[in-house]
Amino acid sequence: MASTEEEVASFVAARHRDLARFGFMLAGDRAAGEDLVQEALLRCLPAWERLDPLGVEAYIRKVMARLAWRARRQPFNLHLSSDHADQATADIADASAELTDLRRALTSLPPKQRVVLVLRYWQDLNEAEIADLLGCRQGTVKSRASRAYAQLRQDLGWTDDTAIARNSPAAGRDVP
Amino acid sequence: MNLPADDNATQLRERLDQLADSVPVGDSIDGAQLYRQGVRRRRRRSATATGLIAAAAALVIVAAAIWLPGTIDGSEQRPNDGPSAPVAEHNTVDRNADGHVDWRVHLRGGAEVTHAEAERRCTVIWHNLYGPTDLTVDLRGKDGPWFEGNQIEVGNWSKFPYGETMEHTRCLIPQAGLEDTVGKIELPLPASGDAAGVREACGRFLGWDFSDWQVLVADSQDGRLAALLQRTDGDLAQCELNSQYLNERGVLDLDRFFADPNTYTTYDVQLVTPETLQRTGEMFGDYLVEPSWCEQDRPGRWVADCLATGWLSGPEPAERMVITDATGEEHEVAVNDRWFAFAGTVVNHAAVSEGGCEPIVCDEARGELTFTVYAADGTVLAEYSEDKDLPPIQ
Repeated sequence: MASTEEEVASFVAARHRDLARFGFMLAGDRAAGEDLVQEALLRCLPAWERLDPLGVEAYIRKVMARLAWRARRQPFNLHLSSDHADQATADIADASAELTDLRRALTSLPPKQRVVLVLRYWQDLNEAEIADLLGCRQGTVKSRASRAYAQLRQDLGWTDDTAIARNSPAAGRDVP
Repeated sequence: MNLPADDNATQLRERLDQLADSVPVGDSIDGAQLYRQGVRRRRRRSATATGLIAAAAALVIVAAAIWLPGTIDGSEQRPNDGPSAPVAEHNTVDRNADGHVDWRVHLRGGAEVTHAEAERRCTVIWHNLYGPTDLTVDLRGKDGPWFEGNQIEVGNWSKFPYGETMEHTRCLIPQAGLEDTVGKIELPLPASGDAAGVREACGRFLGWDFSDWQVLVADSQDGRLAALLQRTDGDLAQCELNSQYLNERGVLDLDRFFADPNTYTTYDVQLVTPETLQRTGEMFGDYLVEPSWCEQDRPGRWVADCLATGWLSGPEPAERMVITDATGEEHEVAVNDRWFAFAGTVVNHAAVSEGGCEPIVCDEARGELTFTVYAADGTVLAEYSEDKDLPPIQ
């Protein structure tokens, strides 16, 4: 029978890439996303033996989402300038203009809005599932998602009658 | 209502997929090493707990000494010399021909300053925040012109003493002569009706003179202040202060802020245009507000601290709003010609299952707040539950 250490090693080897992608989307940054993965794994280790082996990944993702949700703004609230967003997109392998803009807009969202947007529109969870996952009220999920989506549309220059595929790159920032 | 159409949501999902796929993730971490790291962390925590017990015992001894007659006079204790409050997030708002915001454009009325003067003022703020050091703040990123109220990127916040990344932060250039006042807010926070006090407290957060601004609406409760101030040209100051995170000098207690993983935001003052808040108000439909400004700030708490200012959209002017909390208690929200402010404490039904969800922090929060919005003649314009009646996310 494998030791816990061996189980952890095996799990990480098999699932790290997907978890790192999930972390990247939640955090909006590759390094911060990998930190999320590590922190979630570390938090789950004490309970590893009690976790259902089939549910380990879902549990780790839940911890990651909550960690990202709880990421606080710095006391100096801030938004990325376009300069830094440009630097931040350097770690996208195949950075088309569209993806670069999307990345910039996603990174510019406040953490809670980004987390809800990623869970809703990328992970395809409904608001009840997101509220469950994050441990918050559905009303909070609704409002954060609405704000996040509206902000993203604004940053990317999307309009109601403009298909996403035709949208122009973001050229500026607005207030949240 | 800014909800996505089906096609747009689908396309957004596809783009997010592409974005996730485009990021090369690093080599897999060593799981065995991670496991050993986890074991070490648990040991460290045990040691820390032991240390905390010792520290607590020491504090009891000191406290006892202070209160023992004839030993130490507690009144002579020096005020906390910790760092001062930070500059708030601030967005200078103006639009270029494309309708996009140019962050360099100043709010109306901000005086032009030289780059060197902007750096000097931001250096003064830094020293107010973290004590005297040899650091000279270096602003970077964009050429001038530089205006008071501009938020300029800072090049060297990396010396931030709390170990948190402080990249991509900005310094709001305060008004001339007010850089020394930034963040120093006198406690207790002013009462709702104390317009001069409200202007003073909000202005000290930014280093901004609000003395000729009108207080549109204000609410002061439970150590929190929410207020909207307006200049004659229409610009607004959205002021939300929470003394919970201030030390006795009225400055943000950063030791506490960074020690508390549950702290999200403490307080904020922003200069905005009315259109900005009106756009936010319209985001949720007629008379609907974002309820997440009443959030519990601790896992498992039954009460939520509210801190909000905003604008009530809708065809008829709203003049009154009441929040009914989970106990049935009604909380009056200050409303003036659709502008509102609320800084109360409401009860929700946050239930915590202590020990039942380790290692995730238990913070299940299920509650309900009902909002009722009235016209001046008492007509109910809207009544809705934050959980049940907000429009679903498409």
